[in-house]
Amino acid sequence: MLKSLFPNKILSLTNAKINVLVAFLIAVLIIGLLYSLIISPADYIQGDSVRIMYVHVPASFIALVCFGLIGVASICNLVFKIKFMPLLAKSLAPIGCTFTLISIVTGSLWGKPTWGTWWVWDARLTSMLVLLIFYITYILTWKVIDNFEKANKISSIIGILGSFNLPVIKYSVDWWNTLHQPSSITLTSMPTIHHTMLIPLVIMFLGMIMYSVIIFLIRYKTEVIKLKINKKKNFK
Amino acid sequence: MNLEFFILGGYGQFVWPAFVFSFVSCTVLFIKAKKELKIQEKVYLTEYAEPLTIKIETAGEKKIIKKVLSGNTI
Amino acid sequence: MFSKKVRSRIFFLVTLFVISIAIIFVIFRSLEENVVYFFSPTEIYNKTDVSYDQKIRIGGLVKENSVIKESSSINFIITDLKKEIIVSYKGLVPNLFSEGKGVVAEGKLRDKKYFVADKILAKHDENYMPPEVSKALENSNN
Repeated sequence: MLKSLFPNKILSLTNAKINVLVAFLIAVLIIGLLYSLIISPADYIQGDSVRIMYVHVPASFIALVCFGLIGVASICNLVFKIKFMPLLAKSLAPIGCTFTLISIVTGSLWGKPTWGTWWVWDARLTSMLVLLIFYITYILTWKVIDNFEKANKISSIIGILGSFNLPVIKYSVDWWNTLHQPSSITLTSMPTIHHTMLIPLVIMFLGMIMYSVIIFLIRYKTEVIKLKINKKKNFK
Repeated sequence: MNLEFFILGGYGQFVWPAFVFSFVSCTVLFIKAKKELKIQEKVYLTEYAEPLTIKIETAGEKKIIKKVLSGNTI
Repeated sequence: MFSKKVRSRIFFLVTLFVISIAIIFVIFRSLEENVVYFFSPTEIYNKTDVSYDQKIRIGGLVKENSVIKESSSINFIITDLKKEIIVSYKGLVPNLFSEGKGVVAEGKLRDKKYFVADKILAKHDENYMPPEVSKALENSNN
């Protein structure tokens, strides 16, 4: 599995293959949107505002997973100096950053009609904002620092430090009193979402994961080519 | 089309922006990623005039040969 | 198992790990009061250093049959099923505000039993279902 991520393998990913994946993605998204906007019912308390959940929850989930992967890649990178680890992490960062932003904006749009406020400084929302800041600093270190080795080291440390924030985000709703409600979907018990609402949620989950994979592949290929160009430059 | 679909029981003004914002930001990221890939591919092809795909094949073959030659160490 | 270089890096990372855990622990210990978004009525009751000039938030359930609406103000009781606090508020409440549901009020305490709010936030739970299902559930419970 890991072998297919080796830099040379990714180059065999042609535009035609990407287009096939995108076609699949569009199909899944259309079904997902039909379900989440039309077919699924309104909530018994929240009414139609519950539909925001179908983008908010998957986006937040991917935002967390992306940073988790960046954290793992950073550790592998610092300890074992595997050459393509920084490329992996670097390709993941903009995806996670975008989804964190989506999560915060949609959450805010959901909060106004349900809680009665756009934003509160409770533990969940604040820790999510911290995640966004970590993403931005991570991306900026790569942009600002020209020296690859130096940028690599600093960004890896940011990746590891930011990972400490992940359990805080996940469990903030259990550890402290927050305005944000606890998780509806957990590994240990049945989801507290009715199945008619779980269907669109699962489809949107699938769609967003597919989207992330596609962006990741495109960005990873870009990074590998960039590295090859740099190597050639240094040879001359 | 009925109007209720857009009003969504008064929540339309929150639901629609949420979906539109997500869609727009995802599209922007996709277009940016595609553009960047195109630029880098072009740079590689024009400056170093080595088609990427052929290079991989040779690299792949070499690897296989190497593996065959040093088969017992793996 | 690992080379010396790798071992020294692991050592460096573990040190970084321990130090950051220690720092985070200290930060959260000192922030504890601020991290808590709201206090429950019981916590207010047990608190020894209640301040009456500072803005605080209290949260809990809106007690059933306790909401009294007047033209521009609203009075209700926040309960955590052990202790209760009477809340009075001037202004509009969010759509989701209703009896038996979660609520967070921001404002100042007059005394331990009376709270004047200048902001009301509705807190909803993690259960999602269509109205028909909720009705069916209610019927089967009765």
